Amino acid sequence: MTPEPAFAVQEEATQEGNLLTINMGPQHPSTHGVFRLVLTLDGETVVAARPVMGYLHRSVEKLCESRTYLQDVIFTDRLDYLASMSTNLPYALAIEKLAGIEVPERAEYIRVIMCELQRIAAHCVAIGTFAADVGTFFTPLLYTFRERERILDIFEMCCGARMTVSYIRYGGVSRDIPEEGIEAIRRFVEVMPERIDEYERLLTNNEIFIARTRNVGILPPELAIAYSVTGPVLRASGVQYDIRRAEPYSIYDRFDFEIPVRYNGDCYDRYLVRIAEMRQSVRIIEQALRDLPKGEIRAKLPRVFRPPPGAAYARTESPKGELGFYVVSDGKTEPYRVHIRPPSFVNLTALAPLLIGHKVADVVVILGSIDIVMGEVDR
Amino acid sequence: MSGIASGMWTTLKHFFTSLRKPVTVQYPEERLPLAVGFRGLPRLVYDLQTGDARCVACGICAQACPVGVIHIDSHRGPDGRKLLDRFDIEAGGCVFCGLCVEACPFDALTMTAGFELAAYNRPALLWPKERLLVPGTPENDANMHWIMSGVEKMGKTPPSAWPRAAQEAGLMPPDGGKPAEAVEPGEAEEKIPAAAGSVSQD
Repeated sequence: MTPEPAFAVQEEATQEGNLLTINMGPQHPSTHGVFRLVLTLDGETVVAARPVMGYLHRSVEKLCESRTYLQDVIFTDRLDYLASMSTNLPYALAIEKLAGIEVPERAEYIRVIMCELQRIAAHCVAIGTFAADVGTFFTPLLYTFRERERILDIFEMCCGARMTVSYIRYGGVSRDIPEEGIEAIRRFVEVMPERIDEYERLLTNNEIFIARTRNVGILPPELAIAYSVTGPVLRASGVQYDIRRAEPYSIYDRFDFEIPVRYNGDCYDRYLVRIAEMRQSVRIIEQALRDLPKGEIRAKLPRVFRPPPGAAYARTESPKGELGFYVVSDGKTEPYRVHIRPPSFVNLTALAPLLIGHKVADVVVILGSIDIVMGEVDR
Repeated sequence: MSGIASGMWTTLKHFFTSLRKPVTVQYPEERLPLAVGFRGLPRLVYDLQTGDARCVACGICAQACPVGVIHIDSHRGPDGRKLLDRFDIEAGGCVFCGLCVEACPFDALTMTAGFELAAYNRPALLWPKERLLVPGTPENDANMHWIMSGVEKMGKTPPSAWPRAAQEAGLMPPDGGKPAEAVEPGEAEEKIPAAAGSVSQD
């Protein structure tokens, strides 16, 4: 039984021949993970698209129900595995909201530093792989990954692991930053602005890059809001909405930074928003390093942690958009329910209308510009 | 064309500057230094006073493990103390989170720099007590810090992954203690313990 194409705009082919329904993925070098896209093509033009997700479903939400709150931290690392610090944070915030835990000052500053470093690292992947999708194959990717390696080395110094960090926990952070870690972060923020300039020298004014990304995949702001798109995709469409400003969590209200916005809503604007966000993250890290106080890094918690019955939802601005964790407790050591609101999943619902009318080559570019990670789409 | 030209000028400059000092590390002949506190495979800490592991078989680590890869068996000795019979870690399932190390109240577990754990068959991925316990003497205790990378010994960064470093230092026999022998594919099921982390005592 042939699946119904979504948003079918034409029933008949305009050229000689029939409409072709073709599968893109789940094994595909450009689909950013195991993601299947059923495309209906009229020649080379996409007339209908149906995304099929679920190939990386690992039943994380169910697994969380049979493990304690502390043990569930490892699952949060593996959702958006390219931004694990940023995924640890809303889980910790939800539990802190639930149990009324107050986090020490030093831990709050460390969390901000780590999350902003993670934002830079995740945007390094996003921009690098986006450029690779456009056709520059590996050059900008390796340039951005050079800085990402430095960030991952900083993470390794602080918590022992590069990607699956399990660092930000309810009550604070797991280990203190060693002296060489602070030095490494300081040297990193000194060097980063000129490195971002280097990425821009490679890409921003490149005529071929502009020709492939400008006016491709335009998402109008009304449609973006209607689809609950969040993150850099939303801000590239002209809506200046960032949870760090709209509903500040942690101590983001103490820092001075801008929210970059673009108004065309195409792939080129999404790239520019991510570049600008990297620069703003460097600003935030500089301020946080300057004001980092001494003190405890974890709140005093009982050995057996049982939050009171209730539910809490915490949302943060992850590198990909609004990431939310809904934690329901029934008073036991294991949560009753953990539900994750992933930004990539919700942003993907806006993919199909974006693809209509574009060529197959643009499908890859548009998908790359939305920046998805299948780990959090499928959970 | 100026955008393309400036991009190509950038890559051309990098081509010449990295001829002098390439960033490539010729693994496995060279290795990058790991940070102190790196989370590799956990190991049992050797107590120099008693000449055995510091572990008292309380089983808190097996309970703390989120994936249940720690298997502990113990029995009560003649003086009423618990004696450790079996302490296995399935390296094939361990997620290197370090929750077992954090949970241990006796500092009997630490993380090492061990991530080069490939084996030729599934049973060889099961690390029994003999492989996890690196014996120490007062002489080589000073070298222990570069075999383990536990946070409590902030010394030099370990040069390479354990247990190769332990074997090179003569602290571990070259065959790594007593690894499981290769088995036929059909026999493997009997030798692998139950799925969940288990603590059993007589």
